[in-house]
Amino acid sequence: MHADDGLRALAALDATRAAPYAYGEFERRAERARVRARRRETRLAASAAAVIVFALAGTLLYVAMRAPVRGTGSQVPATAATSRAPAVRDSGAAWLAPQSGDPAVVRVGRYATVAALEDRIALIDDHLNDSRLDGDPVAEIANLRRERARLVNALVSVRYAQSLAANLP
Amino acid sequence: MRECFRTLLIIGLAVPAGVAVAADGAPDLEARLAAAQARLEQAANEIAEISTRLGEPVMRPMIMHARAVPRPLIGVQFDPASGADGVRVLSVSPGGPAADGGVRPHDLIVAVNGESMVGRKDPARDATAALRGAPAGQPLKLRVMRDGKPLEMALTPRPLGDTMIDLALPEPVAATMPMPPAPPIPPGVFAWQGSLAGRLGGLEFATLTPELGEYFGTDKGVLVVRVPKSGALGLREGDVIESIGGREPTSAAHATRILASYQAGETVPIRGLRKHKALVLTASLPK
Repeated sequence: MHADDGLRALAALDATRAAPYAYGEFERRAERARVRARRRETRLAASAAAVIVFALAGTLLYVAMRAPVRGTGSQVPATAATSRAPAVRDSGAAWLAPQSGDPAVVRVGRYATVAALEDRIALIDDHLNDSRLDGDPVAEIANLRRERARLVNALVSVRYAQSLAANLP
Repeated sequence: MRECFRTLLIIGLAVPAGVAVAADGAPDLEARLAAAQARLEQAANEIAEISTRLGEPVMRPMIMHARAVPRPLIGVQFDPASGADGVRVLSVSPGGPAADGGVRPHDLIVAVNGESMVGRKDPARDATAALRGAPAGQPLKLRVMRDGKPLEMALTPRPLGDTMIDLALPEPVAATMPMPPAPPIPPGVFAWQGSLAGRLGGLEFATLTPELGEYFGTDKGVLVVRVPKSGALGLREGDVIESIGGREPTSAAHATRILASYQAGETVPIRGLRKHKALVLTASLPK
């Protein structure tokens, strides 16, 4: 089209009619486009996050299932040899700590074993206390500690077995 | 990633399948599980007995000394290097009197029965003396600092001997007397505390709560929840035991400890309530 034709077409337009497009309309359309773009980005980010979370959860689950069974200390009764007594004692004490306190219901036969072990441990603790205060030989104190560890170990075994039995339907 | 999905897929398929198998019911598996559980408990009891037997050379002199010079059990170790701010607790015996009273490792004891342990030259020794000097069965008041906060506790020293009878000790003699060697364990025989388990195995006690006490018409004692079919001590389910041999049980565990202090064949007076009426029994500990 020639430039003059264009000018003629413009001159022929009715000046009283509203323009087919105003500048505001262009702004609205641009804003709508920006909102759509933002939504697209948000959806993309959410999808990526979900995939990452899912992958992480799966990996953790997989690692947990594949991990070798270790001495989980506070959960499993220690039955190791006396040479590992201090570690056993510590893990056993940790497991026993939340179990302490008299049970509301007691089966006499079962509890007698627990009571016997508990009293022996208490007796050893009292002697250990005296031995330390009196400055007894280190070997004697070590002997008492070894004995204590063995009894704590036995107590953990008994209480663990009893707690499992108590939880059976 | 593929491994993860595979793991999740396996879990997703296996869990419902397992539930389905369990729902189908497998009585033989249930029975095997119960049997395995029983074996586990038996093994644990054997560990207890063998451990105790192994420790006899150490325990025997201690028990004999404690019998010759009676003193209550406390079940606590103090830090001998405790400073002037009080007595630091190193260790607490599981299920011991101190543990029952609420004492925990790292607690700082600042007073025993109102007697301050602060500013002393040797607070660990003084606290030990104060605790040992208290009569068994009488509660002691402890003031303890834990995480910087003061706590009040009650510790009831326990008489020694309740559960030590199984060592078949001779009458009290001087502690310096040389000890005879411990008798060998007969093969396959576990007569230790298991003997009490065998004699009174099915007997069950429950600590009386205030509400239960109100129902049964008493504010003290222990409720007999279950009695084995063979009977035990002449007790019946629903009985309330108020005293055993003159000692008032404060809990189901305490009642067991009292019973454990009697030998097979010994007789023991039991007082209590049966159907709201006074009950007096002279029970014989089964052999």
